[in-house]
Amino acid sequence: MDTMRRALLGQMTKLTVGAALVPLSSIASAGINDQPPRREGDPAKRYQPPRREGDPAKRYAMLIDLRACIGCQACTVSCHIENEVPLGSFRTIVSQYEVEHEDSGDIATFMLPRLCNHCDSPPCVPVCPVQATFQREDGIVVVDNDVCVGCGYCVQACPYDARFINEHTQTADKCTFCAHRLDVGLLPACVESCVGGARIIGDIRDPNSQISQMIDEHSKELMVLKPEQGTSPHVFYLGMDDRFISRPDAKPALWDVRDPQGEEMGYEFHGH
Amino acid sequence: MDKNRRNLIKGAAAAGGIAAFGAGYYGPLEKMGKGLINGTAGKKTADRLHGNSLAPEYSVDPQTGEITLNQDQRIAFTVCYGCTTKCGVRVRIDNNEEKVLRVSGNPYHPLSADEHLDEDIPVLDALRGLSSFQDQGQLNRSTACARGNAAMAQLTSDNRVLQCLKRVGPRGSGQWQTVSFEQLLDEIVEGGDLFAEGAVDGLRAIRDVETPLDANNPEYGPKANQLLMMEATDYGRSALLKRFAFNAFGTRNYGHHGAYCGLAFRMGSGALMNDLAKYAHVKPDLANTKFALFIGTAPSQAGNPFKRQGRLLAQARSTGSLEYVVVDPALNAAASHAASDRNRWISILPGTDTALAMGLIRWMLENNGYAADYLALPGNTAANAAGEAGHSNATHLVIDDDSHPRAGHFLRLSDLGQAEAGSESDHPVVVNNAGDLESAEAASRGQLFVERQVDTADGTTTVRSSLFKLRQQAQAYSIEEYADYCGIEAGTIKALAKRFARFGRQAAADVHGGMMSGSGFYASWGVNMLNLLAGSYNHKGGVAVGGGKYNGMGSGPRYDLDGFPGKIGPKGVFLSRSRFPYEKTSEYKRHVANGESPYPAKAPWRKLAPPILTEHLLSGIDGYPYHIKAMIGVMANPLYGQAGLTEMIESKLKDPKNIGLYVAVDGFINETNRYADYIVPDSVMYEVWGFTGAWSGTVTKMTTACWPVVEPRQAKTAAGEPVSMDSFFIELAKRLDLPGFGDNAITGADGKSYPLNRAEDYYLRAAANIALAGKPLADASAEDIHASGIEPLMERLQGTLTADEVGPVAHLYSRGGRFEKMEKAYNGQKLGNTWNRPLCVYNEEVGTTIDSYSGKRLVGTPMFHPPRFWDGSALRDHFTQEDWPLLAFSFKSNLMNSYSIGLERLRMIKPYNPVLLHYKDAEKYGVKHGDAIAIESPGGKVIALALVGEHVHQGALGIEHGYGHRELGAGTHVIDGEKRPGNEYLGAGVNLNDLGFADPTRKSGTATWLENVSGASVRQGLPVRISVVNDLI
Amino acid sequence: MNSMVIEVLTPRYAMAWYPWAVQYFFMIAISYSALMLTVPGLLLGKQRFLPLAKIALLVSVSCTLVGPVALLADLHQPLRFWHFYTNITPWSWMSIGSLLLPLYLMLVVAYAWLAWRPAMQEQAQGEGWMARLSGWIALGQWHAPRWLLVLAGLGALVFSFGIMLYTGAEVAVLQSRPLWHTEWLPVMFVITGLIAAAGLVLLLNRLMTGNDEDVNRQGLTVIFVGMILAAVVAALWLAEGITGYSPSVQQAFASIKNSPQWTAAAVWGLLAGIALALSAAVVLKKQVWLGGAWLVGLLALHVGWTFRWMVLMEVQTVAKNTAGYYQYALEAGSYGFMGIIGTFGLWLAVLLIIDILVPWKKGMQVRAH
Ligand SMILES: Nc1nc2c(c(=O)[nH]1)N[C@H]1C(S)=C(S)[C@@H](COP(=O)(O)OP(=O)(O)OC[C@H]3O[C@@H](n4cnc5c(=O)[nH]c(N)nc54)[C@H](O)[C@@H]3O)O[C@H]1N2
Ligand SMILES: Nc1nc2c(c(=O)[nH]1)N[C@H]1C(S)=C(S)[C@@H](COP(=O)(O)OP(=O)(O)OC[C@H]3O[C@@H](n4cnc5c(=O)[nH]c(N)nc54)[C@H](O)[C@@H]3O)O[C@H]1N2
Ligand code: SF4
Ligand code: SF4
Ligand code: SF4
Ligand code: SF4
Ligand code: SF4
Ligand SMILES: [Mo]
Repeated sequence: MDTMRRALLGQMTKLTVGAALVPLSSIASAGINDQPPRREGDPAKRYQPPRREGDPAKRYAMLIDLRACIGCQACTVSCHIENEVPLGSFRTIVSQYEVEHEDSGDIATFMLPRLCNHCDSPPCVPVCPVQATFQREDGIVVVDNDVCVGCGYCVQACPYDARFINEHTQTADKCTFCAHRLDVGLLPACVESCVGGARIIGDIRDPNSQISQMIDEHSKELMVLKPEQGTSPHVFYLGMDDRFISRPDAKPALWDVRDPQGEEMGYEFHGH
Repeated sequence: MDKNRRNLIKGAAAAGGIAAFGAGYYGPLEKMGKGLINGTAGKKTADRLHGNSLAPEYSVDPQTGEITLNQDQRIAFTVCYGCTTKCGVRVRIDNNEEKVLRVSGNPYHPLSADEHLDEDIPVLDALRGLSSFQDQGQLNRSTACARGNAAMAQLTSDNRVLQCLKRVGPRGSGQWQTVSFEQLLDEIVEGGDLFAEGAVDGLRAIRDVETPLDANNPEYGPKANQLLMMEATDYGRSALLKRFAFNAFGTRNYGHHGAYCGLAFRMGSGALMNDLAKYAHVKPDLANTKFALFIGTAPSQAGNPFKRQGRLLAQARSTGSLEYVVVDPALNAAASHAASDRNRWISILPGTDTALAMGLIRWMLENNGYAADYLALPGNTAANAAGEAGHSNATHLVIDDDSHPRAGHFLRLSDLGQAEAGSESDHPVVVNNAGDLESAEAASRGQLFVERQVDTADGTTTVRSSLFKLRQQAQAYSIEEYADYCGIEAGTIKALAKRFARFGRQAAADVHGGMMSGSGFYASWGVNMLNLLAGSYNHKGGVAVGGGKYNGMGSGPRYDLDGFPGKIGPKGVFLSRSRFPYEKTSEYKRHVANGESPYPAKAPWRKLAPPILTEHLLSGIDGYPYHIKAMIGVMANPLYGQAGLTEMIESKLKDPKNIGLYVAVDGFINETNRYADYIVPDSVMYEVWGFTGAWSGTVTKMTTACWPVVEPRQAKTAAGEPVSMDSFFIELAKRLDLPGFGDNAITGADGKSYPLNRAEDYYLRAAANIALAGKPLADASAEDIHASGIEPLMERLQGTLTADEVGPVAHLYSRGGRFEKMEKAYNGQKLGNTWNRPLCVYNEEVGTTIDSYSGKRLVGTPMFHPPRFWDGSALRDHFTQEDWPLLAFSFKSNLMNSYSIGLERLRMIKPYNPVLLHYKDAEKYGVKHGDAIAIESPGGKVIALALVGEHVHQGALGIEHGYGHRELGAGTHVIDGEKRPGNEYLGAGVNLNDLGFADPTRKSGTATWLENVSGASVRQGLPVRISVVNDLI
Repeated sequence: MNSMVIEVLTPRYAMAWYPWAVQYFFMIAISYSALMLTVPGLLLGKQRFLPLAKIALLVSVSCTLVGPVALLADLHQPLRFWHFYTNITPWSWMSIGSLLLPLYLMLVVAYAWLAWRPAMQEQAQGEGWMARLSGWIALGQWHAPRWLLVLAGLGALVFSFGIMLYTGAEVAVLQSRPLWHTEWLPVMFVITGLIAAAGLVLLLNRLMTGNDEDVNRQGLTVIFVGMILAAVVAALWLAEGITGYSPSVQQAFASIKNSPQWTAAAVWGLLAGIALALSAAVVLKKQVWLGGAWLVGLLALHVGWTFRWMVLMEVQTVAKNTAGYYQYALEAGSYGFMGIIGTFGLWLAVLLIIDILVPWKKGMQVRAH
């Protein structure tokens, strides 16, 4: 069953990446003034409100080369500082696993950076009862802090745990691809500080961008997370192991925190 | 009950309900209140979509690439002290609040940038290169790691020491009072009854550079040696500290953390590189290496330089052509599953690397897996002719006969009567291809494996070539025996050796902290030997010593910062009894004169070792060779870092009779300086002056310049200077009337005298030496000065330097240092910066050094031996497998370092360090994943959580280092009667060093377990046993 | 090794929905369920069901009033609730709910007001502040025709279906949480709501009236039938899972297998459910035990509440992306235990205030003249 499921999912991921990219690249070649991509092909048939704001000529996406990720968490911390994320919450973090290689039996470390996928069919957007969260024309999914009522519905709707209620602002928070930096020609904090050089962001409608070229080069190997959710994620992973595209079947992390005498202390940064 | 009464009761119940509601609803009510007043229940956001994200530091025009700086912020280049890597960083500062906003990499800096920029590129262009303009910033990044990002919180930390502190309670009681800097100086200089505990010698009394401290043992040196100086490592300021210690105060005793950092590794490497003074080492040229073997080092998990190695490794395995194997008791971040076609982890039992190394060497020697042509080059003449950067002594002949007076030495021309002993031309001798003895400098080739009898001036004797001796050692055991011992299959060892050999000069073996075991010196030498056998030293894609640094603190083109009027040289024996042969001591001579056997000595005398902090402290307290009276520690924390030290020394430090005066200079109260009598608040990162150097493997020459890019926050001296390490030593020296400080302490190249009254008097002049060395740097442009945030520095430059120095020095600071151009990195197939001394298959210095326990010569090549104690007995002779079935070791956290636990943003990611246990061991001891286990060693006991899996070698137990603190914010202190409660979360987790123990073969209470040759703290392979802790609550 | 993968480092996520949500879902389900229980007695005028209807109406009104208060608290920006009405979003179930809820509330209140009005008017004839207050509440002595009551009742009923639909759909549409993403969830919400409402009626029947036997029998029947339906729904849901159609079942089993907290909750839920069905059946059969129906009522409340707790809170502990389960520990304060107690406190207060002011046990406007 497991191998079956995996094989199936593996197929699906690859297909989904393809599906996400083919129409986009054709749009790119058809000219950047064309309409933003229609989402009729959306397998989830989810209603998506129209996109607004942002540069309609662009579609931002990120490619993460897992082979180059060293799990240093520079991205995690720089994002945390740049975006004043409350302690204990994360717009991005790198999960770390110990994995047995299925063929060789070797044990190795698997680092998996996670962040908002800026899905092309983002389930977090249509649920919002006040339209506070929306997708920009350039694909970036954002939250309007002035409108958000903090109902947490979008947090529940995101299949990737990419959202949280910001304890400081009491509104929904998530990765914005650092739109405030992209918009002025700077790189997102996590990309700028990626020690391994694993994170590549860019406009996938610009065929000359680094990300477009890498997508071309590796299109067959790229995968996305939870393709079965039909969200069409726009964070693409290179070097992904099928076992991690959905919730991994793993021994869960130990979350105890103890002092040297062994007393359990709890997590210091549990806010609410 | 009538209706009214019933209603009354109901009413009361209803009121109760309302009250309960009120009590339960206060949260939402509070939010509504806030919402009413502010329009939001939370913190107001600066931007509706971007929330409170930082304002960008500059913007880039998408068409032209033109840069517009944000005038509310500045960017400045300085150094990161997030770990010993000391990367050059760019710091974003809010001009209005003078607050550091965020930190990233300096694009000119080789430790931070993918490919560092040429110094002559204008700063604005460099900034454009970091932006998303044409993807430039991600095609060539310059980064700061997680710690480097989080570390800015050190500046504003509540745990910082900001005032001069003097203890008021007993030592270590955590009770302090603030005193003025001047009072502190007064008291430590003059001494007296400072703590109402009796008289304490002040530094003035201790500073006596004439009177011998021990008339019976005059070689111990003057009384001034009774001041011990300790330091973590060179964070850019050591030169000033040493100027004070050695050349002004005149104490011999200075020690840094080397002996509990990586000394066994460094010495093993030094033995190979023929450098037993500075212990040079190499790191792989990762950008070009084809095959790397990491044994006991974990690039990207830790490793020095952490960030640079991590990045190079990541790139080389994903887009480059590197393959590698990691040999480590624990799985670490270097073993990447996503790049599993390029790398593999092999586990090993801790402390057994001599077996692995000798097994690999044996296979290579027996299967022609070595660079025979290169090894056959006997001397410089031959090497030059062959176009090699250097040669080895593989062919040199060793006098291998204990009865010969020169046993252990190389056979030299003088032994054959062909040169004057000790003269320039007294070269070693080899057997040439014709089979004749010939000078190594004359022969074009030497024979590799030689064993023969030779007639010398002192009679006929056996000589063997170095490589022959190495093979003898390697053949002492079979590969199967080695395999059995270290827990790696023989087939794997052979395959590994074969693979390594196959890649030839683009194979690199790398080693570091894993060598801090009871066999580390020879293990390190053995692993490094693989590089020599493969011929990969100095080769592109091989191993690199690196470009080194521009030294500004010597006698430079502008100022002589080394020599000064009245400079003295330290004299006498180090407290740690190192660098001094036992055989030269009065004690030895007395024994001999009395006809007694001088061996074993009372305690180790390690001729080859540097001054080592691992021995200094306990020796100074025990009084052998002599007692110390005062100690000044700068930033070091041996009690946290040296296995077993706390347990042994804690009670002794508490007693002021053992050390009269202990002054600490530090930014924080740590596990060591909590016992200080005084703490001098120091600047922390971004507030400091200094120049830090390069790490091996950094293929170009470099020096990082650091300057206070933000104003130090701590107390000021009466003269208005920030109290810091610099002002402390300057003012201390002036009070003690020591040479080298104060007016006219520095001599310029112009012959004039300059003052050393403030930190910048020293550091800016060092900057001038660097900026004007060789081809001077160009003047910085106004635009560079603005864009690099050094405007606040300019006034100090102009006030301190001569007019012609200001421009180049500004240029230096505007780039964050001086960096050799990338194009100098390589010279064809060779590295641009090479190591030219003969490399040692056999090290004569080692081979002629006498072990102060046994009185026997040390083995002069790598060899196999089990982890051992001072008397040479093996670990398992004392602590049996039955009683102590597991071997504990530690590995560095990829997130934390030894002092980063106070950083919330790291703690929130990884608040705790569960220990690694193999599932078979777990089964054996009934431990389940996530169980609490008690870990007990001969020296201590801790309780930890077990992470059970296949991530560790069976029989080993891995502990991530950086947790289990008692101070740095975990401990409670009372300052001026006010309680500063500790944060218990900083104390979470366990520290392997709490499991350290005393060397059972040394005088009780005088030493932790130290590696024999080097005196390095043994932290890998401590015997332990475990049990499940059933019920904690 | 039982697992080839070990998670070494993952973040802990906080809950986005607090126990307030459980309270809202609980209150509002009782509200619409109790409303249904008023139908035979009050709307259809079946005398036998009138005592039941009287209590059910009180239950429905009190819970209808309290529910939205709890809901408001689950917003992190409670005072921005008006954004719902300036940014109407027809494609969001929550937005739809925000439109339905106030209308539903008004209709329930109108329905009850009309039902209680004759008795209030009568009370207004007397002396003292109580009489005056009743007069004001009754808005005078004019006669309201029964069709008005029927209209209000029918209106409330229609909107209650809207509430059932939106509260169920709101959660069930979320594909992100397989455990929620099943069409059976809304159905279960309604069934367990009915069970809880009947339980509360039984309890109040014991505490506020003479422990009417008919009411006990009727309430127990609702609970018993409800439990049978619940069992059928659970079986259908399981069947879906077995045929591989529903990831919801898969995840439920995985959770029960991997999380001790889940195992315990599942065992408890199963036991409580069985106990409830059995006890309802037994008490129904044994005339002598009928007076103890309120105890069954308590159990029914427990089952109804725990179901919501499991669904809303425990499901949130299932990590979406990583292997583990977040440790959710109920905190003491407003967003935890005190919040739960506070909602019940408010409900009690509302109930008692109505009880003091409204002679709800007296005549009701049942039959048209
Ligand atoms: N993230 C991070 N990086 C750092 C530091 C930090 O604290 N954190 N500190 C810096 C400093 S000061 C230094 S010196 C360097 C050190 O860098 P490294 O040498 O890479 O690190 P260590 O953790 O000391 O040791 C390396 C490895 O040796 C393994 N080991 C332990 N015992 C044995 C053994 O007996 N045999 C073998 N073969 N391996 C063994 C450990 O499991 C560990 O993975 O890192 C620097 N970089
Ligand atoms: N078990 C085990 N033990 C180990 C290791 C291991 O891997 N495992 N690693 C070893 C290694 S490699 C090393 S290098 C040593 C390190 O050991 P040390 O170098 O002795 O210890 P550090 O904690 O690095 O010392 C630095 C101290 O400086 C202070 N400090 C920190 N930041 C600042 C600052 O910005 N300004 C000032 N003025 N002070 C500051 C803090 O008090 C801190 O404790 O530990 C060794 N010990
Ligand atoms: S990852 Fe989550 S938050 Fe981001 S767009 Fe997709 S569904 Fe929305
Ligand atoms: S939390 Fe804010 S953004 Fe998310 S659904 Fe609710 S209102 Fe919309
Ligand atoms: S793009 Fe920005 S917000 Fe998103 S993860 Fe990276 S740093 Fe954080
Ligand atoms: S910064 Fe880059 S290399 Fe480091 S953990 Fe994040 S994605 Fe991986
Ligand atoms: S490796 Fe990281 S913490 Fe260490 S100096 Fe460099 S940036 Fe700072
Ligand atoms: Mo170190």
